[in-house]
Amino acid sequence: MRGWSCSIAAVISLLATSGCGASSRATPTAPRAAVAQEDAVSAADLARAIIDGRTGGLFELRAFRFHPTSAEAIGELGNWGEAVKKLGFDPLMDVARVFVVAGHAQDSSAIVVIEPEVDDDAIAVALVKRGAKIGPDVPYPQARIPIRGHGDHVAALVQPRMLVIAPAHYASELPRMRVRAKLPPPSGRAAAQFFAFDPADSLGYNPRWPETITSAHAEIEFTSRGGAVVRFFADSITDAQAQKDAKSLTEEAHRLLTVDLAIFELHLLDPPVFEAQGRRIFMQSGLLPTDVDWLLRFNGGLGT
Amino acid sequence: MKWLLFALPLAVGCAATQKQVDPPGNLFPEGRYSQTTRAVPCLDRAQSFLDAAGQLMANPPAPIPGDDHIVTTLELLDVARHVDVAAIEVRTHRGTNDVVYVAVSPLRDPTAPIPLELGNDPQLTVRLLLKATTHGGLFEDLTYCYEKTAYTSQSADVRGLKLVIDDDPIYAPRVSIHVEFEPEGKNEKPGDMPYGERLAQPQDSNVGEALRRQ
Repeated sequence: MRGWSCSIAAVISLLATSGCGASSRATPTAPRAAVAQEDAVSAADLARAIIDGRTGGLFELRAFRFHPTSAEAIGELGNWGEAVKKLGFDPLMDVARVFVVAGHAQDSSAIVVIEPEVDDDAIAVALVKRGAKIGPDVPYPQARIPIRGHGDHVAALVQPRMLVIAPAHYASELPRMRVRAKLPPPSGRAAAQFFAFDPADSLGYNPRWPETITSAHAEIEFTSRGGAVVRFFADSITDAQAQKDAKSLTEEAHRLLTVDLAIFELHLLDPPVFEAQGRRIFMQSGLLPTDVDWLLRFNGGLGT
Repeated sequence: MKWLLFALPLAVGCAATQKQVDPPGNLFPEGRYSQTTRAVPCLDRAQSFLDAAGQLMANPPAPIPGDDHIVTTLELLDVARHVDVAAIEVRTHRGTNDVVYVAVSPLRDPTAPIPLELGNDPQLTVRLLLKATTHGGLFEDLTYCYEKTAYTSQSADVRGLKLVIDDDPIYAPRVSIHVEFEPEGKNEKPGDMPYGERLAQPQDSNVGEALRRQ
């Protein structure tokens, strides 16, 4: 239950509620233009469908190499870090991108789609060492990997440049990943993107998400000076409700970043302000390097 | 970045000490990808609707002898902005074959008016597959659907029904659907095409092919 629960819930929540002295007013960010699908479908959506996923994240591992502690925390999501290590690879250096998806932030089960840095033959050799078979009757190489405390997992090179790691009972579902598919493109220079459908139900109870928010999205981009920019948006059911939800989120951010000492409130960080435009709610905030450090360590620490 | 230069030789060195395994042969003997195509959003959730559509095409509801053939039109009124209707299945309780209408987007418009012969037992169950209309960020690459069901029992002379899909801030998922009696209901004369065939008729000629691909 560790890892996953902390991370996605915490990351979306923390990103949503974190701010700092340098935080700026919410600057609306236009939704990214629809991605040309060409002839490939979304590997993220295929994985989401397998597990009926409602929350997850896409990580650009290269951006986290300066911060091994946070990379370790990311590796705990869906236990992919340990699985990759048991295959003989370095989760930080041999992995380019990772998409993790689960039904709920508290679920210990997740589907992990990995875009490796190493070539397919090297992965196949590692899988064979773990008992995988390769031959005319085997559609793709896969092996079982025991994860301490989390049972057997399956690691499968379902198609070129796509390694999937999942609890072993999902092995029979993985052939669904064998369509021409690719992970979503990076969002500008964002190091990670997080999503949640029905966040009030899929992310847990802290922070309290309004029931009327249907989806939430956060991304973090590290700056060259060690800080970061956090961009957040969420959709409410109606324009009028979005105004109320933006107010609720601002109050919740204020509550979470406040220690109520009965006599006075100690503000840990300046809470960000959420603003509504139509039924979309926006927030953008800057993080100082110390805040980034705090955020990443806090997020990692929740998993222990 | 200098430390990377040190890390790489170390990694190479470690790899060199491992037991050598011959490079594998063809990793994907059945091809890099399967031939499956997935044109339907939320395919995992839509599958039961596709199955029902296939069964309806193979076994359309038979007319009931002595029935009055009066047509009641069921129209969708979607006022919830955060969902689209991805599929609809209508069941009546007039015959042995309960399912009388199925439409799965994009193979057939699930929001088109539906002509129904409810007969003397005007009970109706509608199952909807609703798709979230979220855009931006990762949502451009993700679909999310859930089902809602509505049931109604109306008097036999009802000629118009509206299926209302509305925002519901109280109950999660935040959509309610209910069937409303329409006093100014439309009277439709049954067409030349037999009732069962009319309901089972695919609007998109590719539906059969699409179903076979699943």
